[in-house]
Amino acid sequence: MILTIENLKKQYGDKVVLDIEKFEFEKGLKYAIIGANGSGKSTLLKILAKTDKQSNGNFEFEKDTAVGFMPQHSFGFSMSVLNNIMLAFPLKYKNIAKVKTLEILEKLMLLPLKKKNGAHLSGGETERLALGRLLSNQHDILLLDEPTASMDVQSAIVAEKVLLEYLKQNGATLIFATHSLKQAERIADIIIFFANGNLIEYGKTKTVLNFPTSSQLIEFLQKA
Amino acid sequence: MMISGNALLREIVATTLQMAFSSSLLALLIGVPIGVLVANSNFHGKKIIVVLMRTLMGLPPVVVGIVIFVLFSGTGPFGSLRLIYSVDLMIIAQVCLIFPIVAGMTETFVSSISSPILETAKGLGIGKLKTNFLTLNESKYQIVAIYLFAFARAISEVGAVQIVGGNILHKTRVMTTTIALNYNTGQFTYAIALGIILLLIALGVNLIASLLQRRTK
Ligand SMILES: Nc1ncnc2c1ncn2[C@@H]1O[C@H](COP(=O)(O)OP(=O)(O)OP(=O)(O)O)[C@@H](O)[C@H]1O
Ligand SMILES: [Mg+2]
Repeated sequence: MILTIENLKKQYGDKVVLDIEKFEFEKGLKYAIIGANGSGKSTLLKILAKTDKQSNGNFEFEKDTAVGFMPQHSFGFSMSVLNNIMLAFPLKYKNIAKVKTLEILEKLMLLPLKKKNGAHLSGGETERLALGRLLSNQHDILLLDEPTASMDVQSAIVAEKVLLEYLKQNGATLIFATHSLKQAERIADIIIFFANGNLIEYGKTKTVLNFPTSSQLIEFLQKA
Repeated sequence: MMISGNALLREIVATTLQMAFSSSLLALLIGVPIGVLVANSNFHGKKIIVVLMRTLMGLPPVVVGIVIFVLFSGTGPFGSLRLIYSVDLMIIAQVCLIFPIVAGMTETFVSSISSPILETAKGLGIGKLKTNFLTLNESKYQIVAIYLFAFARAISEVGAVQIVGGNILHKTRVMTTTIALNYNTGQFTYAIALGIILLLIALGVNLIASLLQRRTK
């Protein structure tokens, strides 16, 4: 298990927005988290990425796991697109940073924008930049919060391809939130369904989508 | 008479500029890192520090002047440095007065923009130091504005510099203390003329700064 969650809880005042009893993530698998707005997807990912703190409970990554996280709202630093990606490289990789950066820019169709200010990109461009920046370094597990939500269809397909290639190359684990059931179906081995901060149902992608058991998931899928 | 008057004016303006640029720059160098660090870190008692910083922003210049005077006067703990009635001590007093303002303004601004920066940097595994520099980079435009405020404060301040500098002719006399002196002796025209020169200097600095800001945008 690359990640184990136990009694993880987050609340604001009296309002519980996340409450997971126990869950284990297996190394190398791809997990999609689905659920309505406000169901706690981002809350979980932020806690796992340690950009937010749980109110109670614990989680544990396997020893020496390098965690990469892409927040729901991608951010472009006000410097060139090229430098936006270069800044992700630790000092010891400085010599290969430029080549690797150009490579990833090319893959994500960002080469024509390489001199542009990262703060002046469109939503989908910023998302491609953020994904490229994360994928330019090695991580054992990726936490992606709606990584393609602002991308056009073609860009999203390209991004997915680049992502899958990365996961394969690095043997990395993926946990991502998405509102696209099609995307979950294309990518995920396991789907986790959230409602009101609770983990309602999970299982193999095809099973969950075709044979949902909980009334909440059945209703959710019907509306989709 | 006129020539010596002009020479004196030039001297006073030069002293004023030396003081105002030095103290505002030093206040920036001290205040900005404090502001960024406080805004970007989470520690026990942070709220107290922020309240303290905001309180210090309202330090009355006269009080700072008196405290520095006492500390650096002949019998004070730093008396042996012999800085009393010097431009250096005027700069020290102004830095004490202005750096909390710089720190407070920086903290307020950085706190308002930092959360996506911190989230993104953390997600990439970027360390604290580099994250602070990235935050600084995102704040360039605002920091120019904060600097302008610091400079304006320094060049127009009279309470502290009067006390620790003593308004000594050819040594610590600056524009504001000259204006105050002229007012006291009833030379209003000269006082107002000096006031206008002071404003023109501020205008010049502002123009340069807005050019700088345009380049950082
Ligand atoms: N700082 C906060 N203070 C109070 N409530 C918050 C705060 N942040 C999040 N919440 C609440 O926590 C709940 C879960 O939010 P979260 O962002 O995890 O939802 P989500 O599943 O990611 O939704 P979306 O699909 O819209 O991204 C929401 O009801 C939200 O209003
Ligand atoms: Mg979300």
